[in-house]
Amino acid sequence: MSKRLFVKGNEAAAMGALEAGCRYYFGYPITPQSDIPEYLSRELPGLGGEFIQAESEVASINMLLGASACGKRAMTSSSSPGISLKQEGISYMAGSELPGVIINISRSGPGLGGIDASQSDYFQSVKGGGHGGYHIPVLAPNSVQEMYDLTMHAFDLADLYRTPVMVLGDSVVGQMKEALVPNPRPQRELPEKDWAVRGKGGGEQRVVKSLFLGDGELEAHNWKLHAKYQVMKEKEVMYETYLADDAELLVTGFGSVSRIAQTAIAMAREEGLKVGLFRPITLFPFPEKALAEAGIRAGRVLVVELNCGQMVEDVRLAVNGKAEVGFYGRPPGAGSLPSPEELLDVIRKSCARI
Amino acid sequence: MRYDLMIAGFGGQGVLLAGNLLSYAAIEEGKNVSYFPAYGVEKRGGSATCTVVIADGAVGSPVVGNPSTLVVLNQASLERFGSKVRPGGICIYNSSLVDVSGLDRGDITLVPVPMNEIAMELGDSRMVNMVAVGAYLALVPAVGTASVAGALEQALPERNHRFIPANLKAIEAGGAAARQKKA
Amino acid sequence: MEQVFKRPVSLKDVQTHFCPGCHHGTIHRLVADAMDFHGVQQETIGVASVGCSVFLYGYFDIDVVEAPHGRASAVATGVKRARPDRFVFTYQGDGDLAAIGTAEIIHAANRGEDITVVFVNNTTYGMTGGQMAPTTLVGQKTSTSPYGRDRKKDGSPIKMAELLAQLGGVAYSARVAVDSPKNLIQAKKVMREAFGYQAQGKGFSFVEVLSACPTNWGMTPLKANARVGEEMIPYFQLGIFKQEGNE
Repeated sequence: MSKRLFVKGNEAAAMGALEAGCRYYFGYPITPQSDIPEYLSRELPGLGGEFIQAESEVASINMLLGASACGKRAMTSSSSPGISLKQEGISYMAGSELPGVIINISRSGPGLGGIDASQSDYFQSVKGGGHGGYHIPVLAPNSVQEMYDLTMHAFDLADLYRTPVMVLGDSVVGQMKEALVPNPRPQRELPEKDWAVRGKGGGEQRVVKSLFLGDGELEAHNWKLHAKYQVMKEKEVMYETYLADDAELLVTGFGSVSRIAQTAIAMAREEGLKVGLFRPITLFPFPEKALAEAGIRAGRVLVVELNCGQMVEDVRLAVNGKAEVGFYGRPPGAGSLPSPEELLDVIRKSCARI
Repeated sequence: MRYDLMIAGFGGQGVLLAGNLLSYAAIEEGKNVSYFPAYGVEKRGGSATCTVVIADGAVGSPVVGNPSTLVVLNQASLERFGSKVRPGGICIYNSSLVDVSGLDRGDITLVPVPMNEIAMELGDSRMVNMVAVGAYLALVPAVGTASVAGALEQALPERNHRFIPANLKAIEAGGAAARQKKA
Repeated sequence: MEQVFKRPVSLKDVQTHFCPGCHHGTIHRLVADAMDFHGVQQETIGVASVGCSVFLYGYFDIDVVEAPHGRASAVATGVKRARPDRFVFTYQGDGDLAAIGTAEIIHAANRGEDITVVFVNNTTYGMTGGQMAPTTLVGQKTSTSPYGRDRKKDGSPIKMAELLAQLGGVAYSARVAVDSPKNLIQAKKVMREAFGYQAQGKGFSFVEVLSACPTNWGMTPLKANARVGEEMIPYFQLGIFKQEGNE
């Protein structure tokens, strides 16, 4: 076993990227994720990699597009306003079927908003974000260890499905420090990148593009992408449960708020309340089947988010009227993180109404 | 066991280093720990806060609403967080700078430690945070003092390793003061 | 019998979609010639932009990445950093490079990325139907400047070759035209020189090519060709504005 380190979530994500073999980083400074470019600007030159602080988020996502088109593992990171700027490039990458990892240590909005923890980018992340009806896998770590592990996993998913992948965190998982075991990257069989541009070298011409003007070409391309999303839904769903089997109230939330909820649930259990947790780890593909099963079994679901209600819509779709769905949300604002004690109160009230 | 602690003061008092030090010690002991610095507007307002959770099992929430122990280094922090200490909890306060007469909390243990005076006596006012760490460990056995000594090397940048003996003295002095006040 | 004129091998043997009298075809040929001249076809990665030049991969027999509108120099930066051993060029129009992609071109140039940028200036947005471009001449009527470009409201036509020549990272910056045999011969020489800068690892090279757009100018091919010399060259003067190591 590797030695346990004590690092920030943002650093853990950067370390995970390096362990995954990422040697190209393009980004632009923005709080609260700047530890990621700072770390990589120190480490990449010594590893024979490239670090560019680009002129904008727009430029950095397009540099990522270029490096990825060459078949290299590459990434960018930013926070909400910067991620908005990257959406153009993400759409082009999805259309061009290019892998790549985008880390969003999201902050609050709309507009310039603030820098505290928020989950207001859920819709933007899981529903496509840019134009053109695509999806990208979205992974939601809730610990420093997962910032590392899921960033590594994101690179594998990106290569497996030839798609951009987003790691969605916030300032809680980005700024907090916890123990990290920097495990070696999992050995997964990945397809050869026989599509990457490389200079013909006597071989066939390769073209990376998202423009399809021929008769029926674009329709076929969209169906192909759609089929890929269906495979992801079958194979790549990740979630975690905690005391969910006998729960009469199933609390669900992703990322940082799931940690707060977990402690609130432990407190509720001490009071004899039958409460459990369902935490989606992949937000796309959303664990709709597993959540529906657990939610319907409990009969009542409480969705907790650091926003005014986004994932709750997907939860309602998943249970499809077969369980009661309640919502507790906290819009972003200084000091607005709910404490476990506050969530416990919400849980008590929810249970009282059963 | 699960220990949660909030340390609060103003920027420059070494609040974050104190939290880091305890966290490194917990790591050294093979425990789980989360260290969550207050982030955002507060940071620029000149105050510094961090929450540390040390547990044998899962840490759970890195965010704590009602800490079982609060260590306050300045008056503003007491006013902000004094009411939040869990009933039955402990509030260790820097009696050099903090006046608790306005705090109506008969349900918690208030422990005065004149951190600035102790640090000055040791010859370095910057040791206030170490005095606080010593006071905390004297009252709450979240980690062993020996692990803290080992953790100093990790928590301090290498150029400051020469101050480790002085830091240890401050931790000891803080502990002695807290034990005396509690007794 | 000796063959004295033939298609460059870097160019595919296909008909282009370009309008009659458009200079893109000629400029494509110059680019292909420069690749042939330096023998880099097999190791070249081209970056296509959005505009009439988007079909780069249909005409050049090389690997190509298609960039979002304006982002070709950023994409090329990523490509070159990932494959420093490869020859990388972008081919961009004036809307793409001098309007929506201004930040990207200036910073790629300023970083001195070891790439070559071919910039086609035809004073209009060709593919979208002849709207005003940042290079549209003062007084020129387009579909979005129906009363003519007004310097007070729309600014002056931007001179990219001169502008980029000011930047430290730029090794080579020139403007050429392909409207006459004399200019064409010079353009071919300049294109080869610009590609040579990259082939020798000397840094960022930039060639602006003045181009006719008969369709959107509402002119016959002959009149459009004549306009290049009569209206464009007096404002967009031809020349080499920077040539590092040769000053």
